[in-house]
Amino acid sequence: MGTVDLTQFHRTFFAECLEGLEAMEAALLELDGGASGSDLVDTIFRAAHSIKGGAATFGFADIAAFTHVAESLLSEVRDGHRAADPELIELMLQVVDCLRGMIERTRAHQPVANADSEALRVELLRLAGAAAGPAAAAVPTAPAPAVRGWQIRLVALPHMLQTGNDPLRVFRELQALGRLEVKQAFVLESAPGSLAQLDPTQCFLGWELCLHGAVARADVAGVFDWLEGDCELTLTALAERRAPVANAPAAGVPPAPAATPASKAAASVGSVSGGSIRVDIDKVDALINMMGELVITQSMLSDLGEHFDMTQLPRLRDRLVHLERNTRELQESVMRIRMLPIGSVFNRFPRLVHDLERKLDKRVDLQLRGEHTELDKTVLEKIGDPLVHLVRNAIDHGLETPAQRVAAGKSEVGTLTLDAHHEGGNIVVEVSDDGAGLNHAAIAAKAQQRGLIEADHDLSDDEIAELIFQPGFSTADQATDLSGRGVGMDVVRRNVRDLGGSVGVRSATGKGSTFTITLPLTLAIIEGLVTAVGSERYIVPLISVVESLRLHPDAVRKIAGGGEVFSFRNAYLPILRLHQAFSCADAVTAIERGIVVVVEDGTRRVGLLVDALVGQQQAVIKSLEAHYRRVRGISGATVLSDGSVALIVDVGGIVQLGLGCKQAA
Amino acid sequence: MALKRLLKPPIASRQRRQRKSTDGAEQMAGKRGVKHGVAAAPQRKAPVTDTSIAASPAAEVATPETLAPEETAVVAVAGSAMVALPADCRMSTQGGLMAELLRALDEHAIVLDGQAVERIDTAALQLLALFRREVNTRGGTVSWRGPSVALHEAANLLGLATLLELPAIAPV
Amino acid sequence: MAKILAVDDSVSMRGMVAFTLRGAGHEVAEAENGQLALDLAQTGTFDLVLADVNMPVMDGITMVRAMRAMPAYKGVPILMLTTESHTEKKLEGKAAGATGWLVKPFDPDQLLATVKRVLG
Repeated sequence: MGTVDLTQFHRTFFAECLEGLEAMEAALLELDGGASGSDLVDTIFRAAHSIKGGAATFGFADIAAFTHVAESLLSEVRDGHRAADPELIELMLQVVDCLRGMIERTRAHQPVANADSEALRVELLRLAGAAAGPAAAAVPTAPAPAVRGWQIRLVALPHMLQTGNDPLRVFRELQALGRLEVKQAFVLESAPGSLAQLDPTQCFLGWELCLHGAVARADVAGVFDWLEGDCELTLTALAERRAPVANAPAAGVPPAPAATPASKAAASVGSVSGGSIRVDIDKVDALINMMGELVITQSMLSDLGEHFDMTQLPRLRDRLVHLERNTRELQESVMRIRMLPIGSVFNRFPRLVHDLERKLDKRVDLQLRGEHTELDKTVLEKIGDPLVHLVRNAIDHGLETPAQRVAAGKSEVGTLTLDAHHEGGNIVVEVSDDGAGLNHAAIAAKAQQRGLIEADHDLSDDEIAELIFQPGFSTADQATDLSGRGVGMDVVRRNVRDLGGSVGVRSATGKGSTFTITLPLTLAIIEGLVTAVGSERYIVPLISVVESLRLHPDAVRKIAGGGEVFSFRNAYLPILRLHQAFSCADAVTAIERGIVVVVEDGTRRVGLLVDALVGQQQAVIKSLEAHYRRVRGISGATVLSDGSVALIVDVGGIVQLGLGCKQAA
Repeated sequence: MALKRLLKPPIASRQRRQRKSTDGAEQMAGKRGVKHGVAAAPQRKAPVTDTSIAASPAAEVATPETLAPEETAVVAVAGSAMVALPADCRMSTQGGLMAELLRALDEHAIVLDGQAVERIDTAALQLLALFRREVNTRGGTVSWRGPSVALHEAANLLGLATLLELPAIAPV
Repeated sequence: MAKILAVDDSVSMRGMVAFTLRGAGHEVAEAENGQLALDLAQTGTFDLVLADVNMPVMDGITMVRAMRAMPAYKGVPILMLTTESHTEKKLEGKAAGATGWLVKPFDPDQLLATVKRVLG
C-alpha cells in the first residue's frame, strides 16, 4: 500500500475550484442584490467547503488554511448565527478574487500566499472573533509508564448494531492494542422478557473489559470513536480510583491555520490557456455521424472510379455533390466543437459591474443577451479583455451619475446591455448604454489640441467615432485608474483586429452609445471575396467588405498629394490601387474598368481597386510568416480550388496604407 | 433466492412433527452425528435432507427437499428440535433464524447445530444467548452440536461463551 | 474484494477515493449526490458506503437515513466523510444511522486503513 500519486487529480480539482468560485460569486451577487434564500447561502458555503476539503486533501495547505477561515464564517451564516450583511458579502467577494489568484499561482508553481491573502485572512479572523491559534487539542496522548491498562465498561444502546457497528470489530481492535480480557458479558435489564418481543437488530448487551498494557487513553478511546452516541462507555485507568468519564471524545484536531510568511509573489501570473475543452456529447455524436456519411460517399466514389467511363459522368457529378455536402457538414461539425457559448465570458460581468458601481458611485442595471451564442474557443479567450474595457468605459464615461441622470430626466439607474448574436457568418457583440453618448465637443476639442484635426473642422459622426480609437486619446482630465489613460480604445481595436474582426461605435448625444464588435466565427477559415489583380488573385475577407462598385470616371476626385478619392455614402473615401500596393503587372489601371471594393476597418473605410471579382469562397488561412515572412498588408495565404495560391488582404493594414501616415500609429 | 425455500420447510416440518416417534426423547447432546438421515458431520456444506423419525431408527422418511447451506431446518426428534445455523449467520441474513428459534421454543430439548457457521455477528450471538435464556426459563434444555471454530472464536471474543454454554472443547 | 459506493459531489475527491480503493482491488461505484447513491444502492448491495456530507440534491445525512430504511442496508457500514471543523456533523450522521466517519482531509493510506478496519 504505497503512496498513491494524486497529481493526476490536480487539474480536475483546479477546474472544480474555479467553477465553485463562479457559483459562489454569482450567489454572493444575488444576495447583495437583495435576494434571500438559504439556497444561496448553502451554495456559497458548499463551494468554500469543497475547496477547503479538496485543497487539504491534495496538499495545498495555503489555500486550505485561507479557505478554512472563510468557511467558518460562512458556516455561521448558514446556521443563522451571523447575518450576511453587505460588509460580509464584500469580504467574501474579495475572498473569491483572492482564491482565484491563489489557484493561478498554485498552477504556476509560484508561492501561493502573499501579502494580500494574508491581510484578507487576518481580516476574516478578526471578523470571526477567533484567536489565531488552534482549538483545544484532544486529550493528551503521552502514556505515562505507570499505566497498566484500562478498565472498560461498555453498555450498548439498543440501536448500536443498526449503525453497522459491531462490538466484535471493536474488540478485535482492542486486541491489537494489548491483552484484552472480557471480565463479563451480560444481558441488560432492558432486554425484552420474551424472545418473541425481541427485535433482533437491537442490542441489549453490556461488557466489563480489561485491556492490559501500557496503552494511551487516546488510543483506547479512539477505538470507540464511531460508537459515540451508540453506547455508554466508561474508561478507567487501572489502579486509579474508578471515575466515570463521558463518552469517547471526538477524534481529530483542527489544524492550525498555516502561518505563511507574506512572500512577495511574482508579478502578474501569465494566464494559463487551458489545454482542454468541454464538448457537448451531441457535438461529438454529430461528428461521428458525419464521418460515417463521408466514408459512405468515399466508397461510392471509389466504386465509380473502378469502372469509370464517360457515361458515368452524371453519377460522378452527383456523388461529388454528395462529397461536397459531407465535407461542408463535417467542417461545420468540427468547427462547432471548438465553439463554446459566450456566456462564460459574460459571466464575469455581473461582478465587474458590481465593483464598478461601488467604485464610481453609479447605478447600473446590467442586461445580458445571447449568452448561448457560440464562438470559437480561441476567440472566446481573447474577446474578454476588449469587452471588459468597453464595459468599463461605458460605466465610467458613458453612464452619468444618478444625480446627473435624474437632472436629465432619466431614471437613476443606467442600463448597460451586452448582446451577442450571429449575423451572416459573423458574431456580433454589442455593448450599449443609455448614458450621455459621445461628447462631440470634448472630443473635437481634444482632437484639435492634439493636432489631429484643423480648427473649425466640422466633424462628422463617423469621424468623431473614429477619433476615440486613436491611441493616447482621452477626454478625461485625469486618468481614472479604470479607463481614460488613453490606452484603451486603440488597444481594443487592435485586439479585435487580431481576431479578424472589427469594432465600431454609434452614438446619440444624451441618449447613449453602442459599441459593436464584429468577429468571424472562426479564425482559421474566412469567407473571402476572390478578386483578380493582374494575373494574381487576392482574397478580401468578406467580413470587411462593405460594397463593391464600378466607378464612373467622373466620380473620382484627385486631391493634393496625388491621392484619389470618391464619394461613397456621404463621405469621401480614398482609393487604394492594389496593383500599385502589390506591384502587380498587367493589371487594370483605369478605374472605370476595374471594380472598387469598399472595405472597412472599424469605421475607417477605403476603396480597393481590383480588376474584377472572381467569386466568393471559404478560404483556409495559412500563415505567411510560418512559410515566408511577415508582409505588410497581407494577413496570410490560401490555396484556391484550381490549386493556385492567393494572398489574403489584411484589411486593417491596407486601410492604413490607404489613409497615409496622417492619422494614427 | 434462499429466502423462498426457507418459507417452505416449516410447513413440511410441522407435519412431520406430528408424526412423533414413541421412542422417547433422544437427546442429541452429541458430538457424533445422530442417524436421522441428517447430513453427518463431515457434510457440513451439503444440503440437509429433512427427514422424520419413524419408530425404527433405520427407517427414514426422506423428503425430496434439499436446502442450501444458508437455510435452517428444523428436524423433529421426539420432543426435541434441532436448529441448524447457516454458514452466514449475520444479522442481514437472519430472517429465518429468529422464526426457527421461536418455533423451537415449544420443545423441551433443542439442539443448536453450529457446525456450518462461518460468519457470525453480535446480533446473532445475542439472539442465541437470549434464546437459551428463555428456554432455560421454560425448563427446557439447549445443547450444542459443533459448533464451528468461527462461532467459538466470536463467542469467546465477546465473552458470551458462558452465556451460550458452549462446549469447552472445539467440535469434531 | 469488496463492492464500495463512493458518494461525493466533488469529481476530484471521488476520483481520488475510487482510484485509491480500486488500486487495492476493490470494486468502486460512484455517485455525485445522495439521490443517485440511493438509486445505485438499489441495483445491488454494496459492502461499504462512503459519503460526503455536503452535496446538492440530497445531502449525505439524508441519504444515510434513507439507506438505513432499505432492508438490505440495515447492517452495511456507512461512513461519512466529514471535516474536522464540523464535528456536529459526525453526531448528526451517527444519529441518522451512519456507522462512523472519516475525517477530511485524509490521505490515501488513511483511507485504505479505515476501509480495512471496517471490512474486517
